[in-house]
Amino acid sequence: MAGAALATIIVYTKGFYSFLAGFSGVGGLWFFLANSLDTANQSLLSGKVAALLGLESSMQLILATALVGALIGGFSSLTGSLFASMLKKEKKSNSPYHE
Amino acid sequence: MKAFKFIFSLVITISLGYALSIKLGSAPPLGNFLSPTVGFWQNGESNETEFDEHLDLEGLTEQVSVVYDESMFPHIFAQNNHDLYFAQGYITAKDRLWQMEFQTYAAAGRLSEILGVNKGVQDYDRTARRKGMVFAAENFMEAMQSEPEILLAVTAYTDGVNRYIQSLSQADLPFEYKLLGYKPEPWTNLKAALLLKYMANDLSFGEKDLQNTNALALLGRETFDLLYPDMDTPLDPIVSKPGEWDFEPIRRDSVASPLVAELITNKLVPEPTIYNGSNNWAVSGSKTKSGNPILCSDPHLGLNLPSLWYTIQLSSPDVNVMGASLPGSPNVIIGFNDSIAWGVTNAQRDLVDWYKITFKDDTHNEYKLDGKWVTTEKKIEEIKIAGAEPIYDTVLYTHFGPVMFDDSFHPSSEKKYYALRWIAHDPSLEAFAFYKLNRAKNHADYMAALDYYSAPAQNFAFASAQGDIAMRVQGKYPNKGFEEGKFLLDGSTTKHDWTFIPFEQNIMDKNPERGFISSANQYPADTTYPYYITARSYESYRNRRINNRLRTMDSSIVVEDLMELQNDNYNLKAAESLPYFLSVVDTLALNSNEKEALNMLKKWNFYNSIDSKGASYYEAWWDTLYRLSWDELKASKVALGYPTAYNTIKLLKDNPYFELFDLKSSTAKENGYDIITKSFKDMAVVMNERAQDSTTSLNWQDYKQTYIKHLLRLKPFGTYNIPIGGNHNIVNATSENHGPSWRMIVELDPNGVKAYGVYPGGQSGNPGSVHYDDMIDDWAAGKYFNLYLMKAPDSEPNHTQVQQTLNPLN
Repeated sequence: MAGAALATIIVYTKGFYSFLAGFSGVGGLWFFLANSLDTANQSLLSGKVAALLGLESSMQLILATALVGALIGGFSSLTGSLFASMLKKEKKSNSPYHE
Repeated sequence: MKAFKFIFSLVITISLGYALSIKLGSAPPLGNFLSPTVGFWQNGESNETEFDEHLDLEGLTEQVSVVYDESMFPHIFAQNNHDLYFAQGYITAKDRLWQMEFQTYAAAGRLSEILGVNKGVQDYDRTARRKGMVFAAENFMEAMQSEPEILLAVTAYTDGVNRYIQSLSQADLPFEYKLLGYKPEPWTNLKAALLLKYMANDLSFGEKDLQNTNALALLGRETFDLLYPDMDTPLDPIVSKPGEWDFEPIRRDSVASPLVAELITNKLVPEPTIYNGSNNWAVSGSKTKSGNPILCSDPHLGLNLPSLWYTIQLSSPDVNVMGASLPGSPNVIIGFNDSIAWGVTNAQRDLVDWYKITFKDDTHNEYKLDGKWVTTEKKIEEIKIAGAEPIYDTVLYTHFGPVMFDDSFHPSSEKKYYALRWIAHDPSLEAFAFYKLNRAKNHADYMAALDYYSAPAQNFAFASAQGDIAMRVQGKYPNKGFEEGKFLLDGSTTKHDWTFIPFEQNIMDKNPERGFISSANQYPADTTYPYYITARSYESYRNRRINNRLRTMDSSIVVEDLMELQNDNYNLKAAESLPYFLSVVDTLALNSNEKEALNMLKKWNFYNSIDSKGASYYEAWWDTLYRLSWDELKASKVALGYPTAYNTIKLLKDNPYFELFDLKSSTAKENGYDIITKSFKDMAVVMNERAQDSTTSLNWQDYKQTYIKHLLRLKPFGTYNIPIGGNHNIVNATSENHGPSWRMIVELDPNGVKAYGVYPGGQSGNPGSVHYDDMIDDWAAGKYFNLYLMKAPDSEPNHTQVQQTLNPLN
């Protein structure tokens, strides 16, 4: 329910794009970093940790890592942009050309 | 509207951040754990992992060199002892910090702080407090104050460990800290003491006095003596010098008071496994091809990862020693230098006594002692619990020691209280004994070093480049009257206080005629030794196999012969029992499963090798037979001990109509022949089912399934179904999860000592390193690594993988 509310708030607004920026930015970065470390380690540790967390493979673990990073990045970014736009509105609230 | 959106988003971000930073149930704090910059990804080592060739360490006084050989064994070269032990602490912590901390938390009864709310964990911690583990460690610390050399070593070691801890950022933390969401705390001298008491618990807490008391009360004297004789006969003791014990033994004055005859109904605390034991032996030059003595040592303990032992070389102006060390405590514990080698096996004896305490009233403020009321010392133990409020446990201390069982801990329905007297409580200087042993050059030095050794009692095997071999069954042993302490004692009198056998009257031997010394946890002396000896149990198979092999080996023994002996899979127990068992089974009345089992057993050569099927059939049969033999002991509502395998077989052979062989579950009256037959038939059914199971085989390797698990029991971090043979009561004493935790062989060549070692694990405690478990395969295959006793950092360029210089920070 919160998800649906969230969707109506952010879909097709500027906020959505900033969420996306943070989501893909941090998500991509975490994917890249985790994958590099994993390759250098020849998946020795990730195989064990994946099994521990109930995942089936090292790649699933890398993706899970990327997802966590993406969520953190996305919501932080969204919060930041909403904060900024909240301030902007107060400055230009008298103009008829803005919402 | 915008403010609303912002606040909504902020709330989600913060909640998300919070949820990812806390432990949800038993899952780690996911945000930190999965982060590639600070989380577990950082623990994955690569071939290109940077190794700092120069490290500046505050706390060092002079430069130290560390050479890692091809097996990643560190060789530390320091210019003074302070730096040497500082470096030992630092280098060991670098590889094994989490393990050191976890083991010492366990010893101190603080696992609840790490593992949180869990009945089993809280019970474990309360047991440790009530055993007096910290009490014992504190007494050790006090004793150490009187010996500046060991105090310096332990303190320097502590400083080295702390230097390492202080260097750790969040990203650098060992894996398990990230998994469990906590950080290391500062290391202290007390923790080195706790580590030694952790070992003392495994090795000297085994006893069955309360079980004996119950058994005597329930079964009567005659049956009791048949079940639990003090010694197995015929004896092949550690030292046999009949009539040669040339000293005046100290008579025990106390008059044996009537045994406290009562049933102890409390749930007793878990005992260390009876299989904690070991092999060691040394052959003199008269029996070796080279003319040099050779010493062998393999301690048998529970197998875990990270491994208990850590191979290391320590060199300073007054010492140059190599071998296995225990992370958490300085010195080499089983090892060698250029002049001598030594190894230890557990020297079983009853080193725990229980005293019945009579309190004045329910306040427990006073108890009766020698006709007077004495004040109880009450110690309040705080047990912190991760994620919950701490619990407080009041432990009552008496003249004898802590009262383990009372109304609040494993109580019985009657109000009965039992205090614990344990050798480990006494102030002791075993760390100093090892310090001196590391520096010993000859037999006289070895004897002088062991005069500082009181607990846990060990059989110290010795060999020197001068050609001596020796054995000393060394510990502070209570001098007991006949059967004194074998049962619950009367705690209202000081008559049964411990007095001790003087060290020079302990059991020992030097250069015996037979040309070898050996021990494998068997009864320590011949029957003319004048002091009373009793223990929870003694070994009677490994010792005889070892001695038989060493006796028949002619005078051309080489190191490879002794490597073979350490890995010997011959099942003497089966050789002595199976023919008899088979003779009992009526071979004319067998079905096809039973015929198959009979066939497999008849073909078997009595070796528990990995591909042997006969070994699996025998083990299945023996397990079933043992269970049937002692079904009433298992069913008993009060704690009872079990007879040894040796004694069980003896009773089956010599006493087939022994009343306990009757099965409780059936109305008929069974005897030994019946249960041998019944267990055979039951075994044939089970083995046939196994044979149909396509996921496994009947090979001994698959039947035994030797495994080594991580200390936290995390399944993916262990190694399973290891291809190694052997079993309990076999020289290669590897069973499911227990066995030779270190194997060492040293040839004392005056021109240059040659040594070999291996253990089932790896030098690194990091599961993200290839060195976490890289020696297991070689250990299983009976291979060894060279132990290079380097004279200087640049002595062995061909065997130097990395060299590191640790610089003092000025």
